[in-house]
Amino acid sequence: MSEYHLSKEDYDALEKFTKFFLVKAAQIIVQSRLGEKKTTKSKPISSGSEWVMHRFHLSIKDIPEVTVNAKKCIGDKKLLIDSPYVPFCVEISLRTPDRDTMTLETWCISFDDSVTDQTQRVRFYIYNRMSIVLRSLLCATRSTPTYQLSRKQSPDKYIICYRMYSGEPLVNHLGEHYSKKTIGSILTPIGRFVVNVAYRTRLTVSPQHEQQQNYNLALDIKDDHFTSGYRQTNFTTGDDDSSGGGYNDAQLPSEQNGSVPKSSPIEVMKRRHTSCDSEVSSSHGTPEKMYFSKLRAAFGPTIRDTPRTSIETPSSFSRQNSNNHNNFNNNNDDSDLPFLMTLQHDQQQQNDKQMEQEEEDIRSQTNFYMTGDNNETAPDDFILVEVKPFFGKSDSTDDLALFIRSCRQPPKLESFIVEPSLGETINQLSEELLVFESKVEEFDQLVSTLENNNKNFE
Amino acid sequence: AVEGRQIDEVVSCMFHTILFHRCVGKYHTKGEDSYSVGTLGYTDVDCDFIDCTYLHVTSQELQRAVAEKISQFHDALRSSDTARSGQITLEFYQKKKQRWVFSPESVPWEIWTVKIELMQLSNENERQFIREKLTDSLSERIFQITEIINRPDYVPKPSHLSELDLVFDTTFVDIQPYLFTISFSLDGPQNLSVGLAMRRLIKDAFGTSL
Repeated sequence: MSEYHLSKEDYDALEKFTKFFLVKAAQIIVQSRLGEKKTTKSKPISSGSEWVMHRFHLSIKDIPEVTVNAKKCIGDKKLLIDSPYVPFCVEISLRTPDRDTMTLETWCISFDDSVTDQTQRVRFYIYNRMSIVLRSLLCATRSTPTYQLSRKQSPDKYIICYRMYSGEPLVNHLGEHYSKKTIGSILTPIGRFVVNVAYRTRLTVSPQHEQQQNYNLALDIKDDHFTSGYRQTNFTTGDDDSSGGGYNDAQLPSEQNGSVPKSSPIEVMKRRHTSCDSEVSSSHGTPEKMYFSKLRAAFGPTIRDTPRTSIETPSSFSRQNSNNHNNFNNNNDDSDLPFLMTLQHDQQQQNDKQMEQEEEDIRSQTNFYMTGDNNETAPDDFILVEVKPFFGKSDSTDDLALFIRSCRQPPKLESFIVEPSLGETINQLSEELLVFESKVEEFDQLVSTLENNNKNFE
Repeated sequence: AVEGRQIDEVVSCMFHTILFHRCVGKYHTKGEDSYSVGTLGYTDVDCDFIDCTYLHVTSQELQRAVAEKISQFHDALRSSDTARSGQITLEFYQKKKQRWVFSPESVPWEIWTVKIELMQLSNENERQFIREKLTDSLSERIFQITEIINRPDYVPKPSHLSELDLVFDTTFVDIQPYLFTISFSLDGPQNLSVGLAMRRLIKDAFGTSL
């Protein structure tokens, strides 16, 4: 443990720089997950009014909500440079419209007094070193898989959320093979800052699996969560001792990006199957193709409920964004849910119109199927099976093709075709009982031979 | 190993990441001992042939200077009949004043070398596979660069404000990078002189290869 003591001036400077450093780091991390490219100008001369934006000689415009959240998390406590050196963490997670979440990465800024360098000057050297580490952080945030994910986020697919907390970084919910990297470190006369990131490498999400992994996170979502009366939700955990402050969870804006959509690496297991028609096609290399259409009875069950659910989910999702956006505009209270610069009002109108159109389409479809008695026959059901066996003729009358078809369509068992009545079954059972009772002696002999055989083996 | 069309993006990604760390804001001197430092902006760049985004210092002059050199390397490598690989070097140096009328001596203090091997792919599946592999490899290189830069290694400091141009390139209008130069060479049969060979040996001894 270092026994070196900084002068009061140096200590105050270090404390101030540390707070600036933590807030800037949080800004960099959160802004990199907005889903858009950033551009800031290089300014040869920075004016006094832009001092906050140009700290560490880097042009990074601060988002007020992130600054508020970070300061709340840091609080008035001396987090890093005083014992017990509680780390500051920013967690990035993904949330689907079905409310499934997956933690993607955890950024951690920690301090320890195991390594010191008493020759380093606080006001010049450490300030410049912090600038270098922030630049490394800027580059590193573009290099993790989460960055590409964040560029493809949208309210229909998923959004990226962030969470700040004080305490040891939680990495258990990053999956089995998460990767950990050190971004940079800063030596001071009394200790060392270290910036790390742990990120998920496997991006497959299973809703049930995620629920099991929420081991000590209890969500307390109010009933008016998706209404205009929404306020910031405080998440409580079962392990409050490890956290030095409150949890501030907020979702990042889910702006549509203009880049060409690429294949998403995430496979999300959906709970509901919303497709009505399905077309089964064989994968590459298999010899068979089947096309079929589902039976649609004139008075069959409607398909209204399932599609409505899938429509409602994004609408409530987007309404949450717009309502919270209105809250943000109307209230300057720090307790409001921060950082909801999401859908614009006209975009919300477009979504509403789209949803109405889709609902009308579904209604029209159901009406079509429901009103089959209007002198319209149900669509004919047909099955076309085209068998193309390997090494065989393409003609379906070939022996091999017939054999394959007969194997795939075997006749039903007789017992499933002919079903006896209850009386016949009882009579049959009573006859069988009489036969068994008449042959009791044979059964006893069988049992005794089996016993003798066991004894011989022993 | 990369395809021809990926050369520019791979090299730009790494060189701009390095230059972003080896650049300071523009110094404005106010008198003999006081000065102010400008701020550095940054710009995200999406690659077209790799699934990667990197950032560079927002400075058209710097972009132009780096792009020109990388483009020359690209053209030389792709137009060569014999060489299928080459290396491009980003070298940071400082000037040391000489006595009398001799021009200042350039002494390298950090050398980054990127070795490129051209490959030709036959189908789209291979191309996609190489693209993904290259993306992962490039991400690893970025972390490697940040790790090396954050080591407590030597970085020159001007002893006085009047000697800024011995350490920094003060010709840029909006930024001030450390003095640097970009050079390249192609692998293959070359006529090496003793002087050239010795120079390479010394450079390799100081250099950091990627």
